[in-house]
Amino acid sequence: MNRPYQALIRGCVKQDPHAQRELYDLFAPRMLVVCYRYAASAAEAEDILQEGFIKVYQSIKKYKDRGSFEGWIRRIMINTAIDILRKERHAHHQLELNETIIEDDQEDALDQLEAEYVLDVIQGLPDGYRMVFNLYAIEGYSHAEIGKKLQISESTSRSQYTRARSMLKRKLVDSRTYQHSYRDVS
Amino acid sequence: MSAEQFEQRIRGKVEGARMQPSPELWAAIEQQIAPKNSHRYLFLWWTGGFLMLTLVALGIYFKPFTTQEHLLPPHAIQSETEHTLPQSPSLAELEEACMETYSSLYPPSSLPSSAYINRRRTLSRIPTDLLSVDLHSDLPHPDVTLWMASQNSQLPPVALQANKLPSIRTSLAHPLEVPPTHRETIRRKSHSAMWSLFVQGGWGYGRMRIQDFVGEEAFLAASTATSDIVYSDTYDFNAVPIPSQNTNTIQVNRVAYPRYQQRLQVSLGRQIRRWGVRVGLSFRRSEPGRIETGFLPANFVPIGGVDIAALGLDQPQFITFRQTQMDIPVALDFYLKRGESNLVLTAGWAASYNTNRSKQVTFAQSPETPSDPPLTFNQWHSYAMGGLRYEQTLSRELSLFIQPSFHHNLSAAYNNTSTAATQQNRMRIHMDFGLKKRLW
Repeated sequence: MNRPYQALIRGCVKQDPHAQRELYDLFAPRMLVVCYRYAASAAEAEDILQEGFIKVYQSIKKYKDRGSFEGWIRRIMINTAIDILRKERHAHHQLELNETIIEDDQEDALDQLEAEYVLDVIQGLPDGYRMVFNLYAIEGYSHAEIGKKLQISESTSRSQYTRARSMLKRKLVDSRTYQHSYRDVS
Repeated sequence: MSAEQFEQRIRGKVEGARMQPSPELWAAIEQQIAPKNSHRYLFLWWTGGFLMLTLVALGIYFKPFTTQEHLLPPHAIQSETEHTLPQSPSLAELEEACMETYSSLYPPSSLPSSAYINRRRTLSRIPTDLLSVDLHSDLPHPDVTLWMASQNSQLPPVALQANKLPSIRTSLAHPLEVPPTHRETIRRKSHSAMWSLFVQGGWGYGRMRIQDFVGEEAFLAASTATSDIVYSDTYDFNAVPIPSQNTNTIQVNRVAYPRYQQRLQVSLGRQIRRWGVRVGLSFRRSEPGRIETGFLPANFVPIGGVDIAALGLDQPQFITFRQTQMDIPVALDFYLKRGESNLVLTAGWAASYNTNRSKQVTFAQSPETPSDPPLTFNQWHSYAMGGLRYEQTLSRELSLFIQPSFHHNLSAAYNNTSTAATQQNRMRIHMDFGLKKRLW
């Protein structure tokens, strides 16, 4: 059983290696999912996680006991992901896509897919789309906030999000078909 | 399916998901955060070193537990003095003996006449029972130090000043640099200058410096300026931490530029027999432009280090760099002399603060690429220094020296626009060869 967060935070502030490890064990699996959604590959997700945790340990003494501790760590991970991807100039890639209309009879397709597969599909989105989609649909940021974070205009964020959603829907439908046929073969 | 429903379903899918990171990831994070722990102990080490040196400096300077006997010269010198004097000399005889010794050491021609007359007058006014002559026979030119009890309120003002500041000297050399061994060049002339040509070995640079020694007992120095032509290949280990890479990084820079520095350096020092203590305050300001190129030497493969080419650092860059720096160094010296050879061992510590503003332009940058904004950052340094100086006197004005030294630099830099600090832990090794000439 993990100690309460307060004790864990105090331990990390004192740079206690046991507390640092415990914090990592507790949050790394959850945060890797967050990083995975923003990264272009599994290796990049681990890079983001690594850098994010280093920032967490370095700035944990600045953590004010307001709001969720997990939310604080999550924000660090997201900001780290944005920083890294921005530095690597993966952001702002835009693809011209035609809107894809998903048919009603494919509505339940999403429910039948496993979470890992959905994550893989999200990860397969182009960098710019992936970032905007994650920030808007999953983290709940507004387009104005996203625009500020990614240094793009609000309208660009909106259009990227619309395109990302369409692309994701299409990929999920395609992948469902593929997944089924793949399973049949194996 | 509406957009909201779709988002909700996606969110539901990914929110509860867990992924297990690879086992090596924790080891990588641990390695990155480990230096923070050791830095904490390093800070204690630095603080301890500073306090120790400060205590030693204060102890030597003020000698709080000394009595009048301790202020007297050593027995060997006393016996030498006694040998030349009658067993129970009268006041007049003793005074005359002192005058003769003084005159032989400082003939009237070696000093300006006014100074000579003034000294004789001063000497003649000092009560003889509080006066002895210290012949520093281990120095090439024996020096005279006046030893007297500070408690005596009857001493004339000039004598009191001499008592308080018997061997304070000024030096415009950086107080942490290994000091010159020719103490007499500093003491016996009220104004003297010397130049020395440093050729630093290893990855070093050439430097020409003019040093002024102002005053025999003054402890404030005038400002001076140095001009260098700097050429160096710098190997920075861990200088560019890239957390996403689980490795130490190596950056290699080659720089070449002329530099002009404005300096004001004040050094307060005292030498007692073979020991010397120096405390200094130094301000420096320089604003050179320089061309810098990152490179990797042939056959040098950085293990997981920075890919210089990938970062574009292999392109020559022109950097304007304005730096102001303030140092507070403390140094302890140990002097050894044998014949015409001098050896000085120095250990020192300094705290340093500097502000930097640099702007960088890559020559290969395309016109469309906006140049980076000026980088402004401030740095705290603390650095320890150990050094050895071997000097061979060739003539009264000329000497040769070799001076290996190292600087261990621990610094924290923080950008004005960010709270994030970067830390450096760097060791520099210098090898100076030089020729020193006294100008007057």
